[in-house]
Amino acid sequence: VSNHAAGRFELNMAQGVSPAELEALYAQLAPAVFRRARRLLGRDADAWDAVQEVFVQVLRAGPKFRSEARPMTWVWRITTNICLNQLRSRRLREAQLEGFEEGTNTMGATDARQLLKKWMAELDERELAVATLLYLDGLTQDETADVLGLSRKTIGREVEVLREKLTKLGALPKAAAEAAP
Amino acid sequence: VSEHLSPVELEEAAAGLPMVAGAHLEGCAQCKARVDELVALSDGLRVQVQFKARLASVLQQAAEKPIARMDPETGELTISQKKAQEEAGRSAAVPLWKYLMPALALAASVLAFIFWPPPQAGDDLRLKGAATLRVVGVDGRDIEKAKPGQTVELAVGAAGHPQGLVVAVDASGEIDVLWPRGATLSSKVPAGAGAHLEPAFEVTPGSMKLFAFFASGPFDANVAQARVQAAVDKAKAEGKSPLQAEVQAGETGSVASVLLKVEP
Repeated sequence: VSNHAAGRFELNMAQGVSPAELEALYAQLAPAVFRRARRLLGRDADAWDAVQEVFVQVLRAGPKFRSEARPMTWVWRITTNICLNQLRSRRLREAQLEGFEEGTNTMGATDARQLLKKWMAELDERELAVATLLYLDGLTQDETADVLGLSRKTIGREVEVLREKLTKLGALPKAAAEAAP
Repeated sequence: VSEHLSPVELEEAAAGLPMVAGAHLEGCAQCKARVDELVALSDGLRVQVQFKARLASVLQQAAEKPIARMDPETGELTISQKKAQEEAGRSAAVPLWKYLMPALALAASVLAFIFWPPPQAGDDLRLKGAATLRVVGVDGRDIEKAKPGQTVELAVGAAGHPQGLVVAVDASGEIDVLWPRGATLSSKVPAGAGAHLEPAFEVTPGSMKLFAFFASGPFDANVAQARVQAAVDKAKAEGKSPLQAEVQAGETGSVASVLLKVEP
């Protein structure tokens, strides 16, 4: 972030979410953010760190956040990015990937943990986000597109490339491999 | 494609947000039960100390003065949440943002060290010492002056902290994350008093001042950049060059800096 970006930040703050408004949004959305972060990060303390960071991002986004048609998808995306960045920074230490206490829509906790480890080693940032949303969260392509702010066409193309890559790596979830592309 | 609500839709319903698939919820006992469960879980989270503490710390970032500080061990606030709420209410009643803007970078810099996470379990034991940052050539010698195109490396002593991040500012005040290159979060620093950070980088035209931030846990690059930005603003206000900016160490982290003169 350059100093120009910092300038945008101040501008957004100037026009943005008031503390009272932020407090209301926090009360409404923070539990979902916590759950989403807890599931990816595996530890309460780290999930709370993520919650805090997400709402700092809400402050920064200001009017942009307010204009979101589906604030939950915006929050989901930011939470996912923050958590995946946290996980990357931990260098795949096993202890931090033991958070999958519950299975996903399509796989058990152990499989999810192993896949995430493999993905983090092989995928770039966007691919990792798409794979997490699609295969760990069990979102549809349309919803993944909404969360990431992509067009249906773009997500379709990216999923196709991702599937091919994961197949070659042997890291495509079984359920996804069996489903039609 | 699932016939039931997705995780996002379930959370939307639990949060009471307008949702695309509202009709489904009315007719699906399974999804309705899951939403009820999430609502109950949310109620339980809202009464936790951390829930309130994290809100207070976010509000703090929008305020001129610190409202509350959380003990990382106990989760207790040293200043009451009530004060945070009073502050929030006051801010809501009066549009104070424009008055708060000048303090924003300063508040961010204070928070950088107040809320940096505690050490992670499993981190290597490290000896403490003064934090250091040096620019070294390929022969390992310290460099104060470099030429554009020259390959140099950063060598750091992290003062016992496992996480680090290096930010650079040039003479125009442009700030950038130098290591890890373009990162949004800090990274693990190699142990040792003069550990080399990889990869090496090629010097570009224009002198720069480098700041290395070290902490006991991962931290956001934006926070480090905000601290440098505040220091640059202060230097400019005093009629100095951004290259003369000075960043002070926080309560729980360490900072080191070095000026790299680049001459054609």
